[in-house]
Amino acid sequence: MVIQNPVSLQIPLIQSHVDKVTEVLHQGGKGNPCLEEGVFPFQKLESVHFGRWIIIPAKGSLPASLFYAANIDGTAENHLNEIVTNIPEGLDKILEHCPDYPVGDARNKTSRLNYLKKYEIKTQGFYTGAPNRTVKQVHQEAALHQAIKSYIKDNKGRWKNAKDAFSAIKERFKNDKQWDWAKERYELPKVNIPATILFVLLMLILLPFILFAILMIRLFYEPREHPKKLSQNQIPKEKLKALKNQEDIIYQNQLSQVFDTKTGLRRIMLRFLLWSTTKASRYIFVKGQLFGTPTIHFARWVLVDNGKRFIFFSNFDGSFDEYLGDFVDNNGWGLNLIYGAAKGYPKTYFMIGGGSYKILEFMGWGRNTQVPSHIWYSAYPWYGQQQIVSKTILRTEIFNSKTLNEKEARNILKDI
Amino acid sequence: MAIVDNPRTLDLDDIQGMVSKGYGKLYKTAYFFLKVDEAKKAKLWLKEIAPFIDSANIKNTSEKTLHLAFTPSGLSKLGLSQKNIDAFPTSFVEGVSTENRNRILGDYGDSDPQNWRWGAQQSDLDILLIFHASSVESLNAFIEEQKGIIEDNGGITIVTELKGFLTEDNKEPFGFHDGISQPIIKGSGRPGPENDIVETGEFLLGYKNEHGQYPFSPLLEENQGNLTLLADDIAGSGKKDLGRNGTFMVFRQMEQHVDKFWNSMEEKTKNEDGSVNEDAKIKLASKCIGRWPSGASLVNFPDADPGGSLDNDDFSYADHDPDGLKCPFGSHLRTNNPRDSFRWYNKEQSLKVSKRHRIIRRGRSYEMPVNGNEDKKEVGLQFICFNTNIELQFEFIQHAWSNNNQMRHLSNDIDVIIGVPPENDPNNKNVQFTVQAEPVNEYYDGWERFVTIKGGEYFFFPSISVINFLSTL
Repeated sequence: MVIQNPVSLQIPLIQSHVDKVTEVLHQGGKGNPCLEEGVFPFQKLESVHFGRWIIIPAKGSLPASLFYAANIDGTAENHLNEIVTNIPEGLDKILEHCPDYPVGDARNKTSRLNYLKKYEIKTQGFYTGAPNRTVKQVHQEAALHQAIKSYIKDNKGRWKNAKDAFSAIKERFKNDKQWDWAKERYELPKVNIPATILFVLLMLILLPFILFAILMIRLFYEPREHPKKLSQNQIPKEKLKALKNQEDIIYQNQLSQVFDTKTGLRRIMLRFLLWSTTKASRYIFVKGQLFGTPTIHFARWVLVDNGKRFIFFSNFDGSFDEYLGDFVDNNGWGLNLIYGAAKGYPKTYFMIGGGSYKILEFMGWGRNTQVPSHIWYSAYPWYGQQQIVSKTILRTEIFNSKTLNEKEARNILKDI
Repeated sequence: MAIVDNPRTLDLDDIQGMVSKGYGKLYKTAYFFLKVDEAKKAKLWLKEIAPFIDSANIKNTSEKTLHLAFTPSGLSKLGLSQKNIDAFPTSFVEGVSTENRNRILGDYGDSDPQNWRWGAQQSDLDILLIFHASSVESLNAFIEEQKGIIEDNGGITIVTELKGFLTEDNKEPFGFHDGISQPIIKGSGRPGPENDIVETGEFLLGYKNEHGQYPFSPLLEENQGNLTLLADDIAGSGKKDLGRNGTFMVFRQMEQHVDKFWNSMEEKTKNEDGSVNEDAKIKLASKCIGRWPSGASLVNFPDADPGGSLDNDDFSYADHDPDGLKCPFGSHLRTNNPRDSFRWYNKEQSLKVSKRHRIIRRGRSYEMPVNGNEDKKEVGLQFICFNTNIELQFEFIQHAWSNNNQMRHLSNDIDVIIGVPPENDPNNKNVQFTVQAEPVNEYYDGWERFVTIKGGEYFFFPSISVINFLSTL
């Protein structure tokens, strides 16, 4: 079983080259979404589900830097190797603007790899919408689903009941060599019960500390927080326009945000909450929804600049407004817990109230902290998150399961 | 569903009538697009006609009504300062056609705003004047009278005139009873089905919406005009509110390809011997719409059209059609208002989401000669809707629901009536419509677009007191 992993690289930039590297990332205009091969042809990396290059802007004493993020099959080591093997030119074009990037004869596969490794950083928070599926599998299962639909369409009216129909479909696809890959046993991700029990126990043990932290934040932090209340309508129009021009082009969208981290207990709680989110994602939220939000493919939170800032990257279905609105509808309190640690976030109450529930202000904050994703790639730009999940379920039902009764067969057929 | 009381709390005399009234007996409509040539005179005209604007007060039962809407350029030409215009929501300031909005709304190809006959931030579209009257004769007399007033004034010019109408049986050009499901504004005094009573702030600025908050409203950033005519910002900023009791209006002229629509339904449902199957044809069309031609709901009447003219809206999906076997998930009705059955959510959560994305529709059919040829008619809908947040209501419905080809488990289905797939989706020519059925679903391929957008713009639809205020700038 392959688990998807995050790769995060924060690479320093020669500060006078920020404009130049921005231009390089935009070269050819095929960066976002990266539907055709551009400066950094992600298409050549078989292990990548989603990938992006952004620039974390300079702020105060913090310099600008490059950030590379990819959601990959397998290990980071293999992935970095794949980059230096398949996209050396593209990599060079970008990293030439970074200090100490090897030049001349010193530039080779090994030195490139070492350079990348040097700047690999930890991803503190990570969520996978459709875990335990490789890029190849996602494509294969989509093709299978399409073929099953066509078969049903061509045989309209032939079957008297669901059981017959299901048997016929099963027979048809099991006996076709084209779909042999699907016979390989595949277990749908399940909630890891022992891990969940341990996780819940740990949370119960920590509960007094958590409540104490919430109380401290209510007493000593929240009263001092006075964010600007901006709606999206009050974001500089040019900035908003530039962001929107990179959106709603494919079925999915990207969001890249950079935040200044609040200090003290807020920062400590952020680390704890990101750790908890990652664990919960790996063991509990494995069926395609994060706290009831069904449209997220991958999300990550990374502390950068020694924790003084943190970033959030998301790959999701639908528009910015739909996505943020969905999240607030389903679990605004979860957003408040995590993003309450970001300066400028709408005022929270006891860490969970307020905040995102002030939806106009929340969306304004979202836009205000957003930065352009100069290069953004999806390996399957037209697939919705829930479709990926349900196509795997269909595959397992057709290839792995026993004979079904009428009701069970009907339940599967109705969702095709 | 229980019909519940909805006590009147709003100042209906200050609200333009069209927001809460459909004028079902005023069958004829005209739309004048006006250009402001001379602000001073235009403001005199505004002052002169303001008293004749019909209000939302149900006691008004006028035989002819008049309403006004404004574009940013209209407000500017009347003298509202740029700073005050910039205080309006971005969607209104930018207008219906921007690079991003064209994608969201699916305005490309034949619907490309470059080919529109009006709108898309056309420079001389300043004010929209809407007339309703009971008959052609009374409408014509009304228009003539108003044209006279406009001519005498001399400060404004009529740039474009459009017409619209309702038929007595309220059928739109494809032949379906339209305009049945409408939200009811809380506080308007009109009782209605519980699930249709929606917080005031979804449709009128200055009131709380379904999020329990005040929608973004244009506040006066610098003082001008007669401030006593304006309400204070209810959210407490201390500024004057231009929005209160007003709203935003979306106007899109949609050509309907009626022959293409019915030919397509006929082709897809022919008998094996190639003969036309009239019942199957109507049934498929009804499945696409979500109602029978009479207006009867597929949920209440799954097998056949009971006939007549029904405006029964008393149905819900979660209990009576959870699997879409009666009213398909991809039907126009179900995609655009999922009611109590959204995604896999329970009833309560579904209704919460649905109520945050509703619009009040005031569309009317139109017929116009093609290139001046009276024998050839272009038919369609003058689509108008009201909402306080264009992005989260009108645009959301069009983009997240109608144009979304992957609602629930569907994998390449859009609302075949008004949905548009993304321009660069490799599958956008193979859109499907799935009729949920047992033992297996039925799939219909090969859909063309039955609607072409011919014009459109976003307007500010102010309260009557704000219209008076504008005349004092």
